[in-house]
Amino acid sequence: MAPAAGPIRSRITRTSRTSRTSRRAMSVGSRDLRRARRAEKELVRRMIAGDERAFEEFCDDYIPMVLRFAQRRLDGNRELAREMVQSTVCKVIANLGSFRGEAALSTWLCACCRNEIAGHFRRPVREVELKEELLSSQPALDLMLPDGPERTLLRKESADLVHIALDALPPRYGKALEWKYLENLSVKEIARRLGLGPKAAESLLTRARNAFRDGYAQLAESVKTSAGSLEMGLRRTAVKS
Amino acid sequence: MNELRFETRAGAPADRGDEREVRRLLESAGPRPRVSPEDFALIRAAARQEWRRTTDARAPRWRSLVPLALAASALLALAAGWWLWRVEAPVATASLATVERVEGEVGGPLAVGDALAAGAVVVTGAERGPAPRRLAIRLANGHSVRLDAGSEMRLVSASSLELARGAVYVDSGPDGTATGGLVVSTEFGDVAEIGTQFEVRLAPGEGAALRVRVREGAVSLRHDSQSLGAEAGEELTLGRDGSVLRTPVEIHGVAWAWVEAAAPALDIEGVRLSAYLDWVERETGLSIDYADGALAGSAAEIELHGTIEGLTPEESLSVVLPGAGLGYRVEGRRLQVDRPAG
Repeated sequence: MAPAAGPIRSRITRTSRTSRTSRRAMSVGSRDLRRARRAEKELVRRMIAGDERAFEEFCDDYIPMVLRFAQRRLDGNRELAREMVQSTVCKVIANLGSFRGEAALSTWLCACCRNEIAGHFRRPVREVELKEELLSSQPALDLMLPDGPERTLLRKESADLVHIALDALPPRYGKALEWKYLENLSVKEIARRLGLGPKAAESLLTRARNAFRDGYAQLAESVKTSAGSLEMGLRRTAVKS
Repeated sequence: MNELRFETRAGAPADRGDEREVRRLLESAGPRPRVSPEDFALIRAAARQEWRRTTDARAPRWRSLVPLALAASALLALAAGWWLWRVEAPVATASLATVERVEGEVGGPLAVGDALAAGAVVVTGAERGPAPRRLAIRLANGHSVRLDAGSEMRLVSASSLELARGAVYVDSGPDGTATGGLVVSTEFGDVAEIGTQFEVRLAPGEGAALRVRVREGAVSLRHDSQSLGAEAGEELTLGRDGSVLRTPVEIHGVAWAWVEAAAPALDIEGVRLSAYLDWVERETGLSIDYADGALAGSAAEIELHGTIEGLTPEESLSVVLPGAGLGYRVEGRRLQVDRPAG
């Protein structure tokens, strides 16, 4: 049975934390979304059980993504980004027992990292609560974009947008797309690396492409919307003065 | 809904046009930036400690009996007059530092991975005993701090330590990567680091009150109203009569033996050989020379697997380099890495 395909919002909005509507909408979500969440729940369960391979998988799949997230937000300040990510990862690991797979693990990590950065600079930004039921309705893609005026500096079709869209995917999707389109690996080799049969790898690549395409479109629209809002704000200011 | 949707659009299977567009976008953007292996290794090491701490806390009850048994023998040792670890002030949730290495581990209140809060006082045992007692901790701001045997130190804040007796070694990381400065306060003066590796020792000898040795970078010693600078390869000795003696000191060798012995082991699993050798260089003061440029280049491509737990940085060379198919020799301050003959 084909998954229910709802309309994709063309504008990323900041939902209320108690928005039950958004949570209902997400719960109707696709097979792929549910599959990704199940895989993450299983990874977390294995880590809690002390599975060394699960820990290594977590590090390989998520630390680079959070580091890139932090470096983007910190103007490439490598040392500070490392410090922020280190404390972020340790806090998330300390709270793994509360993870239920409702929000993406990447969302949780990025939200925590954003809080750490805000705390470091004592910046009075709205702190993202790390309760999973609230994070599950958070705009995941929006979270990964820079805040404020920096967002407008992202041009549509910039490399940053592509990389953010890749980082927002489940780790295997992002890796599979880079292997296929940047390293030109065969489906057979991709299947071997993912531990899948060739047909399953083909299917994963299709899902990855679609997910990337849709996510990228949302990011591009969000950047365009932010640029438009800033322009409107500037015009109003010009008129007032 | 704002979450990324992972579904195909109904009635719109992936087509060649979409695939071409995805390929175009990815090719124009290039691969995602690779993270520094050093950064990755450091974060993973910290994550591993936290993960082990949390998984140990969840361990079945019978496993927790083992450390209790060790603690019992530690209490007996105390009764016999042998000093072990002592920490005053309980570990609080606001962690200022993490324990990275405990030398001469036989139990006691401190273990690798333990968090220390502001105000914690750490005391190490005497040098003479069944085994030396040394400690390595990592401050939240990235500074590596090691305590020699027979020392007592209080963690005032992430940027301030008080040394009451013995010796402390501070490493602010390559190029001073730890954030914020660090001051070691003593009754004879304060030593402020300026992106360094240095040692502060109280009562180093007859008539001497304080000695500061600098291995890398520079420090500023503030005493009374004076401020004295010292750079890498220099030693400042402050006498009890207020005199100051400045002499050279080797940055590799016996002067730093205790520091190397207390170094937290690097988790080499997945680390590149070049990053491992950078760590050895930093911990030993040796200067690395490769036999040729090609060898230097290939060091960044060799990935290590295994562990060097229990070995000092210099000892680990005898395990790691042959394992990577390489040879080496140490001549003075130089570590020559080459290909074995034949």
